[in-house]
Amino acid sequence: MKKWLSLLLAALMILSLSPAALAEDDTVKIGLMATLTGYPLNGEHMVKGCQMAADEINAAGGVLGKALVLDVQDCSNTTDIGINAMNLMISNGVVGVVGPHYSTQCLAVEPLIGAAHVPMLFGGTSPKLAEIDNPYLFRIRASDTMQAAAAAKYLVEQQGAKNVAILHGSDDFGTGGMQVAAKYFEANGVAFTAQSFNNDDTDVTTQILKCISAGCDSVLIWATEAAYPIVARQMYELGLIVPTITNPSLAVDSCLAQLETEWVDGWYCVTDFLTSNTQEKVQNFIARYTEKYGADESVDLHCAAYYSAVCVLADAINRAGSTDTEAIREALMATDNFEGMVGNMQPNEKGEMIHEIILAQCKDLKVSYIDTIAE
Amino acid sequence: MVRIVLQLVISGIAMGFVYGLVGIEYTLIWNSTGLLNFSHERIIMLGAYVFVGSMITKIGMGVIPGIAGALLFIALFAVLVALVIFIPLRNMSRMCAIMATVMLGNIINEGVRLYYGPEAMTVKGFLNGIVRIGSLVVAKAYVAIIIAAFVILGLLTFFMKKTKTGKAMRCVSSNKTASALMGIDVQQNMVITIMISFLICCVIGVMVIPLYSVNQSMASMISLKGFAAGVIGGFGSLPGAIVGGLIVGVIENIGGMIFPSTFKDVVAFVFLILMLLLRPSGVMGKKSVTK
Repeated sequence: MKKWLSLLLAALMILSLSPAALAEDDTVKIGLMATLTGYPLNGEHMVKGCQMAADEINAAGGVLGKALVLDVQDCSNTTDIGINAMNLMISNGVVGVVGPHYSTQCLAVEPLIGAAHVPMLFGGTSPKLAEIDNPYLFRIRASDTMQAAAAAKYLVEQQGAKNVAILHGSDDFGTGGMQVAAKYFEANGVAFTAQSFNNDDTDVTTQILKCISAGCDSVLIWATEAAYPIVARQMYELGLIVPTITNPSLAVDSCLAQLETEWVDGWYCVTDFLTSNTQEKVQNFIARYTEKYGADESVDLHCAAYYSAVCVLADAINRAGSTDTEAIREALMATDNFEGMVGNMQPNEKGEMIHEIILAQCKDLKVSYIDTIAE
Repeated sequence: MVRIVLQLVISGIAMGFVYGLVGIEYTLIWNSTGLLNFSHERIIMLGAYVFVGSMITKIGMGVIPGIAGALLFIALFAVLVALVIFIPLRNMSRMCAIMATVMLGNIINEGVRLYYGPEAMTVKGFLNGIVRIGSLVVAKAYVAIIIAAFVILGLLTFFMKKTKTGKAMRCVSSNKTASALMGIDVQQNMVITIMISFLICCVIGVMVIPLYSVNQSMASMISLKGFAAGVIGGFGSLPGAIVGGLIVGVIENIGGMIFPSTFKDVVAFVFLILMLLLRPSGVMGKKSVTK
């Protein structure tokens, strides 16, 4: 009797495990680190973009004949939560990671993916990330080295700037952009003053007054979206109304929704993604996205950039022909002009996949395309 | 240079009133329940979200009815929080009570994110624009905050000194046991105090919308500086909270001009530590005497 009971229990255990085991075998899991709590909350757009990519890929047969599954982890906007999220994803057996979006978090989790030999397709734009010797890093947005240099060059060459104020966040992202712009100004003999603020500052009067007293004739802003309602308003109120160019935050709909027209009218920005971009691939993406999530859902850089990241990662897994992470890394390195929503993707020796940037201008709280600048 | 210094002082005073109002609502709950409400920054945020997300956007109210609607919602929420959290916890260990208010803040934060979504919002044109005083400028929102601070301070002073309920509140803040023995309903008194504190949070949340827009971290720094304002002014003193707020606002602005501008928060908090070391009772606080 005991023998039969043991056999029955063993059979039950096998049966109870088998669906999970089968499910594991039938899927390819990739990690997604997204800021779902904290602020700015761009994670939900990242998740929606990535989920749409996974759904489209699965509808077309999946990767290696298996379903592509997202392992979504909240990394908030702090490094400790980001590290925990990355450790969890690695232990869950992901074959690649998409995100995080912030440079500070990318820097924090980079050693983990290096040790685990898992490729990471991240969106942090700090120049510091290009200096790291880690073959598993792939940047799916234009780096600040390119963006900030393009912004600085535009101010000097097109706006005739002679004395520039750089207003920047004090984090890795803001400081990285400031350093690139400062290097350009120094190399071209343009005077500048750099004033920083913390991301949670609620008043930047001091910084703006310092810029005014330095006699600045133009402004370059490099900061996260959260800073714009405060910086733009106070620049307008205190009378610092000069040609101004910003990082891509200004082109994000959720950022524009918090601004008044007169604060930012005529401002320029460099950006990776614009909904007013008339390219067919971009307009098709916007149509599919709004069809899936509804017309009220704003389409922005976050959903577009990480949609492309999932697509290029899936393409690399297919080309690698296996879920071996080293083979996937090699396939990613061999990516040849893959069509993405924020530019075609082709990694250089440092894993930089994007080599073009859009220049745009804000009029009546609408950001319009001016030009595409290649590296 | 004189213009810059004056502008910094004016901006500092304007910010100081925001800190002062936060200090007042902090102080009210401390006086009433002996608890530090670490969820108050979330209450400020909740008030702003209810005003913009529900009253203006979803229901389509105007600004004044919208503010009234948000105040009503927050008042009812305050009664719930008082009965479920603050009153049951007032006799427990301080650590339990502090953790409960921190957790309440997290629940509100995540609830707001789930209900209103992740994107920041604002009310276009609400208290927008500036007031010029010679060559100096002040945002209209700051002027509204300064007026609101004086109105709230005046109403609170009148309420505390001239009404029976207000006098009872002062008794409860002075000695809960003696108040109960004198026939004061201490629990009801606490509910009223917490409601007033939450209503002030809601007013702050609405007033700072043109300054910071509505997002989940909109009140993080002002709540911290508001606490500093309360301590510097003299914890427990309502006018002291305003004075403390003004000191913090002006000192951080001037400090940011002298030192690198990112150090302005450091300047404010170093001043707070110095005050704790040199005059722990604050500018307008009374020295406590232990018998």
